[in-house]
Amino acid sequence: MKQKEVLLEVKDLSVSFFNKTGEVQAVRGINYTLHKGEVLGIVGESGSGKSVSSHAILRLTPDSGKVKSGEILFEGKDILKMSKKEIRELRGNRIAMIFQDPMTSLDPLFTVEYQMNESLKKHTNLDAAARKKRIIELLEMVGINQPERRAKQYPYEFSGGMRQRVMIAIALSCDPQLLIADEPTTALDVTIQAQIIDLLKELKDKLGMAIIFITHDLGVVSDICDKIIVMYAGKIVESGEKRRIFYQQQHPYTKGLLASVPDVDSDVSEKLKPIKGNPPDMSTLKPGCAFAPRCNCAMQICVREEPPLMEMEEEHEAACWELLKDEVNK
Amino acid sequence: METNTNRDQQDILLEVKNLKKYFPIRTGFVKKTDLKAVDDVSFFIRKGETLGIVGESGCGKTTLGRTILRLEEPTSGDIRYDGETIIGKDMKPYRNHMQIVFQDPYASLDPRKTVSDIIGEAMDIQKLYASKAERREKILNLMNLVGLNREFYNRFPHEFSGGQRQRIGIARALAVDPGFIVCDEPVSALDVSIQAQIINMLEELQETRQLTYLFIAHDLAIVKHISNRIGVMYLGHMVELTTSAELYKNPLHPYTQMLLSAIPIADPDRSESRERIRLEGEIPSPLNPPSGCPFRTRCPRGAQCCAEQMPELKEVEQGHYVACHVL
Repeated sequence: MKQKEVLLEVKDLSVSFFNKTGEVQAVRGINYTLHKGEVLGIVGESGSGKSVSSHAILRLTPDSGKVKSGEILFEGKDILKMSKKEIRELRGNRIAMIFQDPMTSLDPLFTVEYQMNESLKKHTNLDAAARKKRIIELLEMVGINQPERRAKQYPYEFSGGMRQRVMIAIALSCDPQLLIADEPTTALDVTIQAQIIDLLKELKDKLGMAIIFITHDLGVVSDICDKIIVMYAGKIVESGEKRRIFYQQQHPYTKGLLASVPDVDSDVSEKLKPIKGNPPDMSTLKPGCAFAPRCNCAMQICVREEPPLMEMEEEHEAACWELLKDEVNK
Repeated sequence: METNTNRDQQDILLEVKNLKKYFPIRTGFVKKTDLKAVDDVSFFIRKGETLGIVGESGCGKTTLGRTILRLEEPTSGDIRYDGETIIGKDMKPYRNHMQIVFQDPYASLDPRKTVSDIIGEAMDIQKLYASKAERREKILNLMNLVGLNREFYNRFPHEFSGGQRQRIGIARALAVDPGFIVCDEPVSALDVSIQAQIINMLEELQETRQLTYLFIAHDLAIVKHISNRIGVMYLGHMVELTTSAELYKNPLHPYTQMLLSAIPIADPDRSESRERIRLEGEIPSPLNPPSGCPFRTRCPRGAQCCAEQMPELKEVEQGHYVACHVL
């Protein structure tokens, strides 16, 4: 294996939203490191802060929100301190993003070729003929048949899966080092989802880019990711190498999440084991561990104090008092 | 599990025969083309059974569920509930027996109604109570049944999370004490940790109230978990129908095989080691379906006769129906 080079470092990132009733802490101090060529899966339910934290990397936090603290170092430079011009340089060029809904992220009024041309014009020095060639190349790379003909079509003439392929082609047009994929397959059917994941895997190996893959489906990341971060209520509750998360998970939420998905290979008659209760209301978060009200092994300390993120083995961390039980009881 | 095909008439709650639902779509100035959302589908559901329907978007599974309840008027074919046809009948008495739970718990609840009025609406229409007190009592019982706190009686839907809204939707369906419920993707809009709660609840309700379900979904793992038998749909046709254990152990239709191999598995070792059937292409437009077998454009088997004739749904093993020329 090549020596790992750090590409992205997120340090103590906090993002809050403000509305009439006050502050909603969407992301509450998260840290992680992404190396070159690595695929990181960020897993969590709606409202866990997984999208908000990743949008902050491209400074896409909406106006109602604010990055309260932290640093996002991309190749050593803090993105949060960059000027507007520097950010524009970064977006689409070095860091690209694809979204959940390929339906709304393409402009319906322009042909696919026009939209791809836009991005190439902005970010490269290619002349018109070279750009045209590059567009065909890119469409071919993402597996679109008859690229010359398809390039002249409008988004409505593409199916959902094909639109997502176009989005990936646009995202890759400037050879980014980092691709942020925000639930890229959630709106797609299973067979199409499998195609898109295969495609991303293939492209990652070919282009050597790093990917942040945001999803709520643990099955999707089991295939493509190297590392996984599990988020709950704006915090990282567990993170580690993929196999550690799937086979030696420590946090009760991760355990619950894995147990609540029915397994296609298991016996039908087995009852599902859901996590009790509902995700917390982020505007009225209480002190202590946010998962405590739903946790089966919650102790007294859990409702009083928030557990720290504990390193158990190299690069495997979890935040749970249960892991510190012996020391707490002392 | 029951696999016998002796179709004891006593046993069958719902029977669908050659059901078709076509939507005329304008494709030119005066030209109209039929979109064949459901095309010649036949099956039956036994009392107390769960029949799962799976398929990708556009395969007609939702239209099938809606047509069975005559929320869409069928183009042709027969639907028999408890031995009697419901085609051409006044549906009001049948609404007491046949209900539906919708996919989107945000869009399917009237935002201006309180929880009690949403749950009570069907009872109001069907006049299922004698006094106001009885109505209140019944609604509170239903709320208790689906795990909703009694304090929520006068609250509005926007105050609830997705999982709780779906509980309201289920209570509404149960209000008339039906025997049959169409569950149209009841958990696909919910978070993973909540899905299992709702599935377990549906299973418990089925046991205690002897319910029969038609469970429509695209998540194959969940369908397998809850169903006794499963039908696989593709472009408006039923292409395979068998018990859920058999379908996953011994899928015979190439489309079923493809669907199964595409399920993401939350286990890196297994998902890396399994053989993936390379998936080709996408669903063709239902306005312009291929001739003969609808699946032949993506099928690895493809024989001459596939382009000429639509294969019939035939029983190839006991209780295992497949529509494919090349087996």
